[in-house]
Amino acid sequence: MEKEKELHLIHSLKSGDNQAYKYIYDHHYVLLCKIAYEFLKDDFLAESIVDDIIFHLWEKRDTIKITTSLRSYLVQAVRNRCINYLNLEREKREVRFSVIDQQGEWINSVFPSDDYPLARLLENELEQEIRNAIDRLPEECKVVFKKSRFEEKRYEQIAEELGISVNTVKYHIKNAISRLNADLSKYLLLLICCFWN
Amino acid sequence: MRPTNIHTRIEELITNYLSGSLGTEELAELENWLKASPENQKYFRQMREIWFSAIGVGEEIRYDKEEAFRRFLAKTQMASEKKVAKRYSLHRYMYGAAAIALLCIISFASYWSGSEQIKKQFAEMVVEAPLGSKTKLYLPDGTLVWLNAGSKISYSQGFGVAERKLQLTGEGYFEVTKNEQLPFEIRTKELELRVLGTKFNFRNYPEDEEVSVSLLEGKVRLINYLKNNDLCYLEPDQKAILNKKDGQLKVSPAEARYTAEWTNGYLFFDEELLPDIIKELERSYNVKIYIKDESLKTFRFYGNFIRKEQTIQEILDMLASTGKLEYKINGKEVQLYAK
Repeated sequence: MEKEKELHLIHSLKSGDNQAYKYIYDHHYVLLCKIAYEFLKDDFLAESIVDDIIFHLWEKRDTIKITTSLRSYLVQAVRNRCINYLNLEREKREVRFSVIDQQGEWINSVFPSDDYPLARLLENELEQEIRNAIDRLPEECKVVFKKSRFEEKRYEQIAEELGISVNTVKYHIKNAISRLNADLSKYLLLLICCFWN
Repeated sequence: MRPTNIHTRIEELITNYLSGSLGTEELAELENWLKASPENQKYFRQMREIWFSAIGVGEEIRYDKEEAFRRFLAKTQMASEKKVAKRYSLHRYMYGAAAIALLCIISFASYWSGSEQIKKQFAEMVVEAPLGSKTKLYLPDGTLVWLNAGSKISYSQGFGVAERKLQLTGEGYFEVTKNEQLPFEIRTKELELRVLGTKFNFRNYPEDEEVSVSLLEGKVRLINYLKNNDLCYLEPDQKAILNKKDGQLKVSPAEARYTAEWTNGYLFFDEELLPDIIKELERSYNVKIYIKDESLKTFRFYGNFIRKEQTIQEILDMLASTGKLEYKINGKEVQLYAK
């Protein structure tokens, strides 16, 4: 059933039906921007890149082939564009670098980009599983995790806001990651299997 | 799988890394741990993926999908109109073919050669700055343009209504009026630039070996036509240089305000190649300069001159004072020799 709906959607995209593009904006746009933001850390760039990808899909609709789910296609496109962009950035950074830049630089050099790409969980519509896993975190742990992850707040800031110690903040974040890992790693393993088959 | 023991040092390091609190020494420690084994790397990657994947759950509203869809509609509509207009004019030419074959061939040729031109129903506006002088003008949308000697821009009469696109040959300094609905686009053969509103200098003379864009304010997007239409974004006080031979686009820090100095009558050379400097001098002083020794072509010079106050001879004296070259002037012709 889902598969049929997906095929119909892709067909509508190819025929240039605006409603099908509206569907992308309604269901995927925000997530795609968030993914791009993770790579680029800049909202303006993130939105520009996602706009370009959807426009590109429209422009090339006659010839484009989508063999995966639409969501996977879009997530992969975002990832590739971002990595491309960061590679160009890297050339810039040879002249202008700081400790922070070097940190990202080095971690990226350890992992070739296409070898073990990020956002695979998101590609596979496991969003509900991820949501559930986060919901299952103990209350204070969840609050701390969200402040760190989504609001990008520092340990000290979170500690002050919640009236707890920095060590407690750290403990909660470690605990959250470890629990999420326990809950979600089975999907990751599954994905790797799919990937190799 | 059971939750891991979270009290180990490595859990601490990974948590600090993910939440953006890793210090320099800790980074080295994490690095060593990662280098120790592929298993460690795998574990780290998995943690990174878990952390990454949580983003979908954040509830903060930062992106406006309705607005984005409107942008999409405006853009696709513009693109379709362009296509329809092209098809329409093609039919008209076909008609012409039945009547007068020769006329058809001529107009068909001009149609194709101008296929990048904006809509047919609008006349094309062309503004040129002759050799030895520069031109200042305002575009219909209020954007300020300075055209340097020997440069040209062209745009449709509809500029500022449905789009803001123009083509540039040579060098221009732009102060673009902000309009988030209509991006401002400049096309040259090798490089396209898009902005919403900002100040920048764009230089691409056909005879230059490099295309250069310097940004004073705001943010611009560049598309490198020479290499997979790669995207690149510039920040204020950065300069992008595109090598026309190999298509390499490099971005470096620059004192961008100096690159627009020519609008105030200054000639500013920021480590530029001698052949490019010479072209600039030729255009500014309307002279011919010949490089007599090949070895001179790779020299770069830095300097700031005032065109109105300094003669070509004074500038040549300054170049010669570097000890790398000598010159001879004969009327409007200059010869340069290696020293």
